Amino acid sequence: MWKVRTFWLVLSSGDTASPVIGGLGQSEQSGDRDRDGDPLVELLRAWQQGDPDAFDALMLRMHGKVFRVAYRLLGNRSEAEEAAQDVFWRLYRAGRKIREPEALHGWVYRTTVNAARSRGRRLEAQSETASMELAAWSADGEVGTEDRLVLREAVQQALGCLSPKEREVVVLRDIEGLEIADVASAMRVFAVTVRTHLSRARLKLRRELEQRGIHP
Amino acid sequence: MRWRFKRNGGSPAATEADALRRALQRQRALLMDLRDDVADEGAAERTRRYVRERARAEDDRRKSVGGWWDGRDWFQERVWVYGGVGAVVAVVVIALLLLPDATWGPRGFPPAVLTAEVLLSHGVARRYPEPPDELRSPGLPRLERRREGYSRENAGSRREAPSSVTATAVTKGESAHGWQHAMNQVTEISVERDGSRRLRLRSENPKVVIYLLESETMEGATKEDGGE
Repeated sequence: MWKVRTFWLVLSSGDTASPVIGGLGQSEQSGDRDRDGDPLVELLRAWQQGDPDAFDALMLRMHGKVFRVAYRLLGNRSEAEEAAQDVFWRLYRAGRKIREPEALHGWVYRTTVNAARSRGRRLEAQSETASMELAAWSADGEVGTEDRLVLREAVQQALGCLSPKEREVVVLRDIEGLEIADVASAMRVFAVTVRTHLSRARLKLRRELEQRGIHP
Repeated sequence: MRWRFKRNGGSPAATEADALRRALQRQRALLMDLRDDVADEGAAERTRRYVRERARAEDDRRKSVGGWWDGRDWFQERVWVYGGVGAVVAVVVIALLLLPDATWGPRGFPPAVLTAEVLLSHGVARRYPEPPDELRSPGLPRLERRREGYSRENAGSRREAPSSVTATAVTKGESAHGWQHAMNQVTEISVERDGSRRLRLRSENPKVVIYLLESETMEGATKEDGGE
């Protein structure tokens, strides 16, 4: 068993930047990869060293990303906001113990995915169908042209047709632009598993978009 | 794969694969373009207030509760570790105690499945539980296993070993003596011939009570063996 695990890890570690389908993702911007002098990491360090205002600044700067991911995964604005509150409360309690502040981004993505999974299960238990939520998803408070609103609604409805794992990989990889290794870390799966889910999800998403009259 | 298609001048399959790849590239670009369309609309400020208020409430609670663990995060961390290990150990110990066939521990437990066992080794014929007198009335059907499978060769330690036992299964009923025959509720009647040498009656019905009524010493046991 350990031999198998080691093999997979070796396999995945040397291949982190290559996407499932050749040509995709070569020029993507990750945004989180260049972490030397990352102001968010500096804020976390300052908070760990006793600056109480640093946490507020950190939270306000990271909230958009956390809320966005939770919103895409849950398809519900209020649930996404509560998931974000869960994430930052956990960060408040555990953030001082993060030994490597550079790992902040990975920690936040992982916690966000976990919080969204937990709330998603609760939503399912309450038998609120995801499609109903997703239908009203793009209509509440978003700005943009009418065409863009229609496009956004179609995309998000198509996202709602994916399985939770597929939605997670698409949101983290294709929308947030994370590297495969970071997606695997956030989902706590192997990189090859991410690739499998991703290729399946992309094709499924394409079919769903085409059914809605969108041909990218 | 791609270089081979190019050398062949582009097969239909290669063309299709290229088209799919380009479509997925455009799809990805579309998704990334929509990335920043989600606005949190003041949710950040609400989250900041939520965390602050919850942190303050937590501090107040700690101060009001006090105690030697006040403010000690190490205790909060380790209590789960120690508690978890303790719970696992407790579960294992309880499971071992409840094993009905364990060579130690309370026999006949748990009561959900009642088992009457007649321990033949060392001549101990247990009456567990002690049957009421009315069960000894001749009108009540009984199960008899007389010298079944207990030969001198496989008897092992035969000191005062009973050669026959009589047992019955009853349940509370409306008969004159308050008990009702329930042998039809017995799902297992077995005589283990090796080592343990026990007669076992087993019923899955928790209302059924199984009683050992009689046991006799094995016939023909030698004096050295403790026989008559």
